[in-house]
Amino acid sequence: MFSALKSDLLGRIQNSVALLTLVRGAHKKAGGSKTYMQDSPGKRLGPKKHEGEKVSVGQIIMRQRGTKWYPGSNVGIGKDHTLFAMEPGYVRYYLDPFHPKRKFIGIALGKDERLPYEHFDATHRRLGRTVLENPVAAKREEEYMSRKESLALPEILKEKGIRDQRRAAKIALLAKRLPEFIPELDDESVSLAAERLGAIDGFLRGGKSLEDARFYATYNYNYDLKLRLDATKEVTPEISEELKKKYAELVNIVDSRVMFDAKFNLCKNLTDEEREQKKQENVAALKELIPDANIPVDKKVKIQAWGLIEDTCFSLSERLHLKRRFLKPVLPESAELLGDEKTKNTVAISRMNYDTRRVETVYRLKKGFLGQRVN
Amino acid sequence: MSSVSKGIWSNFARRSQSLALRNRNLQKALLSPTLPHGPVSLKKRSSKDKYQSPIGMDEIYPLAYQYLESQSEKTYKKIEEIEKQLEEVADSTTKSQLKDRKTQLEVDAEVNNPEIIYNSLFGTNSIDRTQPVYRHYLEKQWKDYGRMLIMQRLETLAVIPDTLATLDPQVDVRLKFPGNNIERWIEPGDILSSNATCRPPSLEVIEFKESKNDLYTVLIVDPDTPDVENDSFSTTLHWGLKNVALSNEDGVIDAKKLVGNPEYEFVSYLPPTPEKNTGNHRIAVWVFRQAEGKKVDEGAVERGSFDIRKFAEENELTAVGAHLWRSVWDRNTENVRKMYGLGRGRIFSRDRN
Repeated sequence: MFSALKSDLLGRIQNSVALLTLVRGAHKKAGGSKTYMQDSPGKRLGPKKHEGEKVSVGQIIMRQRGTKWYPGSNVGIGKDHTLFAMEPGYVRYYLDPFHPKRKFIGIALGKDERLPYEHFDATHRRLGRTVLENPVAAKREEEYMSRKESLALPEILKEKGIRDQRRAAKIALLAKRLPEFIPELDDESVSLAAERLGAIDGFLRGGKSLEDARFYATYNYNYDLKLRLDATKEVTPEISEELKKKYAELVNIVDSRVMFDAKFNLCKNLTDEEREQKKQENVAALKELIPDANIPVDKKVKIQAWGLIEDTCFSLSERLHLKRRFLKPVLPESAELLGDEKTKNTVAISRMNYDTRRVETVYRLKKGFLGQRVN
Repeated sequence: MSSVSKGIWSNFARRSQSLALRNRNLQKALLSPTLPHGPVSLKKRSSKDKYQSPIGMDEIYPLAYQYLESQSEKTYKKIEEIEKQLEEVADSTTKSQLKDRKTQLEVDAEVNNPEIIYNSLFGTNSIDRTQPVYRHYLEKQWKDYGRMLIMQRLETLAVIPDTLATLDPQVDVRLKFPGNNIERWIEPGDILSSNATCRPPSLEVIEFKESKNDLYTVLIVDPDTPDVENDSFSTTLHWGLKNVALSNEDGVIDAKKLVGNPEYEFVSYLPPTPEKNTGNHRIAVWVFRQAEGKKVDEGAVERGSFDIRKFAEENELTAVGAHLWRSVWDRNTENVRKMYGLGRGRIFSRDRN
């Protein structure tokens, strides 16, 4: 029975083999295993420098695939994850508690130093530079400019030259105008006072108050004098004391006589009380001059009002407020300020009337506008 | 025009005048139940005429204001109770606890007041820092930006741990150089020219806790001074101030204060004058609060190889704030060195070896 079964099975297999041979195609499939012919030479990975070994800058410490080891202190990593030394020192293989899953390779700067360094310690750094003792080399190095600097320098020097010129011109102008306010000053004092006023002007333009500007002008002078006495020993203590005293006297005179107004023009000094009083007087005068700002005034009054508003007692914002209060750029459109037709005294204004849905032309008298500033 | 405020927020008998809005027009607008001509920020007549409040706003606003005001009134009652308790209590720990509670309640009572909110948002320069509520808002603003910024700069530039180990900032420190024409607050980490830093800076220390007469120490150090002998770097002390009395009202340390109190300065100002090829020097400004009632009495302090950690430990100083700028050799550095009689600076090799 078994042999009969066997012969039957064999016969079936033979039949199926015969069938398979029938469907063979024109091309023969390349045979072989999936991993056949896939070997490559070894890449010589692994440590190139070991624990405690001395290295210099750029030496390779580890070749690896991926970051099996991470770069620690003073070690860099290449694009193929090669670790290399960035400082000369001693190789350390270590673990860092801040990154418990990583292994590190670092360079300790000293032979006996351990890594990682204490977390709150100042970083261990190497200067790595020498002082150039050769005067020629030192000079050459000092004068060396990067391309960026050498390109920018001419422009910077040009601008500085212009600034210096402007400053000198400003001080010369101040020195010229100062005798108008303080005639009794001698030439030396005038030039010193002009320097001081120039400094104050700069501080004011930078946003300091007049009081602060005066304080810092004095402070800087005394500070420089102290440096000349203590640091550079250019002046003796007696001369320094004398200069200081002289300057203090000059400050007293200059500050009590001149100041700068809101537009940085030199003018007569006003004490706080004088200033307040002058402000009140001017506002009272303006009220008298222009009782109702909505009624047009003639040119003469306008000029007078401008004069009162631009008095030295007012700051820039106060001037602006007063101008808005007394000299309105456009007066309200009252019946007296409307004209009937186009004349040389009227201005034609086209305006949409939303009720009639038509553009209307309104003729307004020119005196209803403040107009351009004249005086 | 009528005011929505009918209670404590318009009563300045026991509340400070600084809790009100100074601008009358703004105050009127903020306290009026409706805005017939729109917000005061509208300048043009046509915009004012066209303005319409959002639907329901005119009904809701007074209601909300009065609710918040009544809550504030209740808080003020609690404050009164605490004040009574404070008079009776003698124990110092309970007393300080009660004081803390009182400060917290003082903040709670005013924190929703529209006038306070306006002042804290738009009037931060002229704010009254003696009021706990304003300090609360200032602290919030500082924590949102200033504190994060200074910590980021200190960490990325490794000022911590190169000078002190770490910092838990408690005060806002602002710095400028008023000896120059242009006055501006320096952003932490800015690279400044040798000309800009050639005269001493002025500082503002903004405390957020109540501070009446705390003493402060200020140290300016440069941890990047080259130390050729050891082929490393050392720290130089550039400026030292001690026992500087500051308070909530006046937190400024400037030339005016120092001229009046020359005893504050124990090491005179030395401007940073980095030598060529030594890179950017980090100039760290450290503000320390001194232990209560303890004065720093430091004799002669060496500028060079200054150990800031040892100094802070010896004098029981707590670092509460910091600032920093960076300096680098430039074409003017030699002039500054000459001005201070320092002699010519060394020139270092351009390449590291």
